[in-house]
Amino acid sequence: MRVAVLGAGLVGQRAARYLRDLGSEVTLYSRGRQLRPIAGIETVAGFDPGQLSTDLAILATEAMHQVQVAERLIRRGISVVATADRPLAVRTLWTLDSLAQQHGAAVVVGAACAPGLSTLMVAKLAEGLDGVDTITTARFGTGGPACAREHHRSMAAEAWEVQDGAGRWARGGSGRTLVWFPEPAGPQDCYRAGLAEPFLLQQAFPDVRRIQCLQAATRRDRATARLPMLRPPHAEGLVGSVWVEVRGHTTERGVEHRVLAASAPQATAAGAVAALVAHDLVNRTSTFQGTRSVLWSTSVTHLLQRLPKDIGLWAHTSAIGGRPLSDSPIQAARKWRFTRDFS
Amino acid sequence: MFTMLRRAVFGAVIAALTGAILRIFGGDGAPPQRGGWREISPDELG
Repeated sequence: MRVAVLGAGLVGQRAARYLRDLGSEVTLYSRGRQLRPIAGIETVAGFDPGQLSTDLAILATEAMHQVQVAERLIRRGISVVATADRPLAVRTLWTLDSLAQQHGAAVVVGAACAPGLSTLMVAKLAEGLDGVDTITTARFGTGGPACAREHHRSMAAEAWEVQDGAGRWARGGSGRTLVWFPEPAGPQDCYRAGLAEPFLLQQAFPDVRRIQCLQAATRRDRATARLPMLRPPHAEGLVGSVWVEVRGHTTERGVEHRVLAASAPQATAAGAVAALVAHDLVNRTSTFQGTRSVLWSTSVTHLLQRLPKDIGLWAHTSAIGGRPLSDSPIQAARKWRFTRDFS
Repeated sequence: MFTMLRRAVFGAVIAALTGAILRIFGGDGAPPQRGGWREISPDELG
């Protein structure tokens, strides 16, 4: 089966390499610039979604561009894996469900680092819980220049979150929380931001009382969020991390508090998740028509287990491992600012 | 020369005030009280 990767930035190139390593035939399309040859990958400068001949396409271009391309590909019955992380792009892609069903195409939305890897980690932590009460995610770092611009934009955007079971808007840059990521990221101040994760998590966990997704930023990031970027974005953020926390309960052990983190450059994690999802789709591991998040996969565990070795997964020893916590104060990888008795 | 100095001092005061405000209105944090991160292998996820 042939897979087209549209967009030859960091995420596109890494997704193409992972797919090649998984044994897929891959063509990597840039939006126009000439690409250096990559072993085992066909490279093409420029693409027209109306002429593309492929079974599945990974979209790794700028977020809003992905919406236009996805619609044209779906109309031709080509399945799509979208890496867009801008909330508007994700919500728009989500509305293509009926179009995708009509044309027999599968659309996976949010197959990147956050959302994507973070969503998978939340689902993994929620396994075995009788009820999930709170989901919190945080991310540190950026991928390439487009990701850095998105980070800057999101700090000034309204943040969507779920509080007491109802969605609400909050000011981006507020809600400062200190999150302890695994090294090398370490402790970082994280803030509300205009992120796509809460929307996708709410689709997957509609009964959860509280969903909040945070983004690490410096004080300068927060103070200059509403200004144009003061200096050009860097080529790549080489340190990245995703942190997720799920709080719920089981009938046997009472309140459970679970924390998991991943450490890898964000472009690496995004490329790997997109490649694995695309690989499962073309190999018909499980199929569907319409729009889904990465949680469509029947086995989240199997997907996480196949992550490349350069993505480290970390468990917080005080919070995971099946030890009952209901009889002791909850100790977290971050400071709890609100406490509530769930017993 | 005196005007330049005054402007520099004024700029520094504004910058310090802005920094102080940002710091004052931020929350605080505490390190985890026990436990730590442990890298897990893919097999442990099963």
